[in-house]
Amino acid sequence: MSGGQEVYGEALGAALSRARTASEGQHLARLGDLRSGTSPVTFRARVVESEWREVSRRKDGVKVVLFSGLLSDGSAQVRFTWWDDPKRDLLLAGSTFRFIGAEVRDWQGRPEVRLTRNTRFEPLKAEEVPMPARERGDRAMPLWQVKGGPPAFPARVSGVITSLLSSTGVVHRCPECSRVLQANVCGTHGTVEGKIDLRLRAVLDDGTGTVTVSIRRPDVERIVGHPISDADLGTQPSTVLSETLHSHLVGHYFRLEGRLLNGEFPTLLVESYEPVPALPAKRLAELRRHLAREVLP
Amino acid sequence: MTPSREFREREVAWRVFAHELNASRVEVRGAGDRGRSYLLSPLGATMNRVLLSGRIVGVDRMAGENPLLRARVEDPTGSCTVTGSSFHPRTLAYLSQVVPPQEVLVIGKTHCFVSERGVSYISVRAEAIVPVDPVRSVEHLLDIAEATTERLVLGRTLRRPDPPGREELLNRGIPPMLAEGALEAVAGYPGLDLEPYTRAVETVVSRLESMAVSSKGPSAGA
Repeated sequence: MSGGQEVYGEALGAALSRARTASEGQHLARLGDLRSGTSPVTFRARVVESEWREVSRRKDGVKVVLFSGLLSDGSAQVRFTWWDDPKRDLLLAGSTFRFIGAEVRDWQGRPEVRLTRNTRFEPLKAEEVPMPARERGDRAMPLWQVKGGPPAFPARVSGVITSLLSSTGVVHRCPECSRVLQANVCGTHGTVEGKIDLRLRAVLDDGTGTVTVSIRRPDVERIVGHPISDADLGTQPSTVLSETLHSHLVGHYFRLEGRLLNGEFPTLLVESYEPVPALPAKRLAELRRHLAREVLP
Repeated sequence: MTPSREFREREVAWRVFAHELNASRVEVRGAGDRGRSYLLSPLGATMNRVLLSGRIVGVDRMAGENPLLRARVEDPTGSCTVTGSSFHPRTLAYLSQVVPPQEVLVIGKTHCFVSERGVSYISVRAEAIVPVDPVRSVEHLLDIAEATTERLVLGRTLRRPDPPGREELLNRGIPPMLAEGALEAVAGYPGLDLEPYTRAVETVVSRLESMAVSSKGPSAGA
């Protein structure tokens, strides 16, 4: 990590030295093991992304700064929030820390880390925090293993798309929070002017299990091979769109990477995709060796 | 989609060749009074949904009230019946205009009809039929061959003296559904000869190898 401690300011310097002493003898948790009610916790993690924005507090409408983002330690990815006087320039994407005294809460059925003024941060060297499996270039995860995995984690999967879910199609999103609107009403922001978008949700099957995959418009455009404009979405008959999506997705093999949200119906929020190479000579050679060793006399 | 359907576990599409599918004789019913039925293959595939790769060689229109088309799909190990109905309109539309022979990928539900004389007729009710080019059908056959080999290896292991039990299989990293299916198949198909299944996979692998060699161009070697 570069940048040094000066960016964190004096108060933080003092907090850091307190933290060093306090951290000794603390039990280190893994993000994958965090569950609501285990607070306060100490863990090591890398900041995957972070942002701050002004939001209206629901109870009184007062504008407050919310600092939030995603933490990862190789075992899982967990969202964090920091409401309570956050230090905005501290948790920059890519930085690594030991977090001491964070709270764990459930948010929409998943554990979330809440940072507070009592949380302390101890900078770590990048190599002190394990990288997620897909950044190490590991193979795709067999889908039968998803159910036993943590509530949310980065994953690479591969398989065939067997169907498109009925929630696929044209949607209108809230301009503030991107949630999908029902009759132009957002659960948080009330009646708003929706922004038209394409939502694609499909079932990926690798022969050992299935996962719902959610693919964003830019990736859908790359898969179908042409841009899909707002005007297209607004005017094209839904059957035309649905035929295009079916013919480019169903029955095709993909390798997909993204953030996997576990639960009753696990969902992969796809961040990158590639079609599986059509002539997998290596797999064929491996299969031949496997047959020769295990099956043929 | 009704909520009750949403909250049931989705069925995996078992990768099978026609030979293994056609040899299946054991039906298994899932737990509960509305339990799903599964067709247990000799190698332990517990099939409710399957994925097949092959070539449509003919299509017949079936007599009856509702439109139903029956296609013959051939893969390197044998052939099987695939039906398209108005329940999945795309399959019906596709089968009504396809010109055989045509390479396809089929995803569908297994169906087993046992006649009064005790003869079973196995078919696949298609949920999706997708035309594929020969290059992509290589990829599908390889996928099926890998899965079949895995079951075959497991089947051999379990038919040796002093076979491993369920726990031991799970400890070796075998997926539970594969381990459980394989154990059920040992009980459901006593005295099974694995030789024809080995030969079927061997045929496919040899075919794929010759295709890989013949199509080896500058872009090969992935």
